[in-house]
Amino acid sequence: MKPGIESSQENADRHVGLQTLITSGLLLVALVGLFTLSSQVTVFDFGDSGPDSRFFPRLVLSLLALMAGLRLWRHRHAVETALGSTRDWSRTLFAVVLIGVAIAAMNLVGFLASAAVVGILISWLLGERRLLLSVVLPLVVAALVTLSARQLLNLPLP
Amino acid sequence: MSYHQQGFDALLFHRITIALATALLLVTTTAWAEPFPSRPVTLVVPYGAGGTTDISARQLAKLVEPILGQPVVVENHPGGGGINAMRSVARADPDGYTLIATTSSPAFVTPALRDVGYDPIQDFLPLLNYSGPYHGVLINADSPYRTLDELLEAARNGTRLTYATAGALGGAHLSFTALSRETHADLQHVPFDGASSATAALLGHHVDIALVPAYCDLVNDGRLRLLAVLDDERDPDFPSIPTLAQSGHDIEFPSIVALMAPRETPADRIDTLRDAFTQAASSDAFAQVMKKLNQPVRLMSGEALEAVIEKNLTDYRELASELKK
Amino acid sequence: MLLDAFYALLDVWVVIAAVVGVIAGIVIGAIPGLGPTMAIALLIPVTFTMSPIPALILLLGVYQGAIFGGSISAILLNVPGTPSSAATALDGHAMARQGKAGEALRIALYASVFGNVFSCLVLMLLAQPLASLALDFGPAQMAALMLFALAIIVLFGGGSILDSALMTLVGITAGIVGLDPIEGLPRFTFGSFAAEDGLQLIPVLIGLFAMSEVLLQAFGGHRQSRPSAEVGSVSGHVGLLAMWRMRVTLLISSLIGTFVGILPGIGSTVPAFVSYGFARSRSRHKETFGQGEPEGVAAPEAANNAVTGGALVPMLSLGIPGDAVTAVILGAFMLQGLTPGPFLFQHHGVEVYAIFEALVLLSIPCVLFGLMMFKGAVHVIKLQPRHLFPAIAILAIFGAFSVNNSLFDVGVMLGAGVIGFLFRRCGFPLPPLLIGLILGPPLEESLRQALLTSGGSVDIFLNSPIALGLLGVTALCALGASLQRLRHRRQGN
Repeated sequence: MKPGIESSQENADRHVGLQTLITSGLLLVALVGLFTLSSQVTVFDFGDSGPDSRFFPRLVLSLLALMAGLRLWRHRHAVETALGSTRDWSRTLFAVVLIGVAIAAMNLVGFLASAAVVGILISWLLGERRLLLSVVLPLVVAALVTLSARQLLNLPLP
Repeated sequence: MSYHQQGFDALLFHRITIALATALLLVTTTAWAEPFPSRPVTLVVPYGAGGTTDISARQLAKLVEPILGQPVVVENHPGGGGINAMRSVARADPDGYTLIATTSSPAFVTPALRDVGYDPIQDFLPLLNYSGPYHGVLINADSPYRTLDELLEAARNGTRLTYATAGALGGAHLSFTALSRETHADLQHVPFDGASSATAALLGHHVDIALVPAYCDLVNDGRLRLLAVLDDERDPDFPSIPTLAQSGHDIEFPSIVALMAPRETPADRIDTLRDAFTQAASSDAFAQVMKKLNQPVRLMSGEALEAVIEKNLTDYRELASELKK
Repeated sequence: MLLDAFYALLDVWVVIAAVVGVIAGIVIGAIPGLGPTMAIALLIPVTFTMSPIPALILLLGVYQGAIFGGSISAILLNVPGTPSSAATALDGHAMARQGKAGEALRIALYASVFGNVFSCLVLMLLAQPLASLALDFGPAQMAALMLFALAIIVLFGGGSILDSALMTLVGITAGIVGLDPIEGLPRFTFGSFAAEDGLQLIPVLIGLFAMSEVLLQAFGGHRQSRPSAEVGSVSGHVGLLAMWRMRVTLLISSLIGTFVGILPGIGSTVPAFVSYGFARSRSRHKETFGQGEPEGVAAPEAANNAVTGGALVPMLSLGIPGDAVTAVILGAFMLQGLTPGPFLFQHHGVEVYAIFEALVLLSIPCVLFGLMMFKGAVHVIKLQPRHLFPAIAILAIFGAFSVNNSLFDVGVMLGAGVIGFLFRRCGFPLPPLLIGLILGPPLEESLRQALLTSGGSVDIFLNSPIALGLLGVTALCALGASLQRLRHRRQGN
């Protein structure tokens, strides 16, 4: 248990807590997986005996669905973590989307630029407003990483 | 160029002619005089750093540098059993600065079985073949079979024999699938994660046969028995052991380690590269390193290699279409 | 022979190689994403021109150093540098938050050295007989062993068993994506070639543990900003006595590590978590595990370092490498003309024993430079999160890319970061997810290999004493754990 979690429990809503939401998500993933199993897994026939390549995914996905269902049932009255404020979520979402864009654009703008942008953005999100620490520091770190990867490790960074 | 309409200005015309001539001269001189290669050549290795393919390619790169007069940078691009690297090299600029050191699976086995995103014949030009570990048909030394025929005879008459390979849909797997169809022997494939796991499974008596390379020491130590080699020629370390074809079966799995370039690479550059790499691969220094690595040096020209790839690609495609049904 | 081998080590180049190797290893291990495999592969070309003993000592020093180095970042930042140090983070970081970073690092170091020396002695004395034991583990036995390991982690890993089981299954499910291990055909790749490699361990690890931490900070970190943990006593003296009290844990963990190391294909992460589970189930104060329990640091560290010696057993005596790192080391041995296999000990006895002795002696530079580095490293914890996490994010992107030089992996890392962030907000445990991802594919592979060899009959599990024994112990553990819970609940009421 992380310390931050208990602190937000007093304003918890019983039925749409985070845990229920995530567990339902897992249940959904397992069911979707089971339904798309035959289209996503081709079976080559070598006349082998024993289970084919759909056997294990089917087993695991069914178990996952079962466990997720069980957890939903067992914890149906449990006090759960409240979702939290929209501001927090939108800030996190913003971070994820921006990192995603930076990664997608890495082949165009290069590793140095996109890593530096990610660093600057995160330090800004975490509340650092001094120019030296929020812009220069991530830039220096990104440059150092790029340089040592290219020169020492001989990696083809974009 | 619309200077005619702007009125005749001798000076302007003159200047333009000079400029054009200079530009033309510059272009032609760079095209003619730029020696190839004029910058480092990238040699892609489709496996992780530290394996035998990687180490031998690095040695070859080091030996070819003084001949080419430019550095050869080895870049590892592991993943997907080599097909990821092949796909990216197939799409690289065909300028002679990107080459790949590839092996049998991504060159003609996997592409014959499923869509991999490149065509080994249409997208690649083979430069030369420089190695290729012999794959053997191995059984435990305490096993009752002395020859391949005895083994197949037993498998035809009710004994179910299992064989381990380094992975599913590899050349070894397909050769034995073809063999069991041809001889109606009851051979069951058990794929492992790499040749060493397959060898271990044989040593521990968990399977009956293993189709793996790098068997030399274990055979000499008297732990394993070599019945045949899958390649198209005998292993020089074991000259008394026949190939599958010499044992009377029209099946082979030639193992290659070859250099290829994107298909559209200009012919003169291909010649330069081919000469340089052939010279390096036939050097004594390279032979010594390969001996240490327990890898054979097997030189084959680009044309011969292309024929091998084409033949096997067709054979395996045929086999695959039979298997898919 | 042993003395000859020892004289071979009295060479200034050997000492230099050992020191450089250990330091390089510790630094590389501490950076998330760069592990021993990459470090050794990069150094092999450097060793081309060196003579065999210093060359191999350099590489083995890197190997040892890197496995320990991963725990430095795990303890100080809660970002495991290598997968095998994820278990160390559980209690190590908790200790660091309580101002006991110096103590946690020292315990980790001493436990590492213990595990290392233990497994190297085993390697020296028993390499040949143990190698044949390793061969007894075929697909059926491996499948049973992996089930056993999964059971230990779910039952004794701490927290709710239901949640652990759920997370393990999530990990196994994630492991299905990619090429089928038996038939080699794509599964759940949705037509993408990049996805055929599956969700790779290192990007997922970095996402789950490093990127999710960044996202947690973005979520609400800057308000309830981490009570910038005081460094506490940097020296954090750990006496021999404290380590002596953990002797049984250290011994059991080293045994587990060595044993699992001998078997091919499991690696060092699983034994670390299994040892953690064992230490916790044996402990009289289970509730302190996860809250900064010294034994919770010592157990996984001893185990993951003991894997080094174990993994060299089949590699040297049979020429069969158990994992990626030993496969790379195998290449290095061959380049030096020491071909591992049945003839290695006959032909190159002196070199091999010199290397064994060096493996034990490498502990000296490990301790010396480990302690020196702590003095500087421990101050990292004083950094403000808003200065630290941008750097971690950059390293995470770089580390994920460096595994296969593929941007797809970076995307996987980000996805794993989001998933990890959500699960951590929920209080779901992440280690079982990691273990599920590691063990899922080989479990399926062994299970299906076993059934292929037996012609589809499950007798293969029942006819093997090893497999049957392991399945029996698994059942007993499940029974024991549920009885324990029951008793606990009764006492609680």
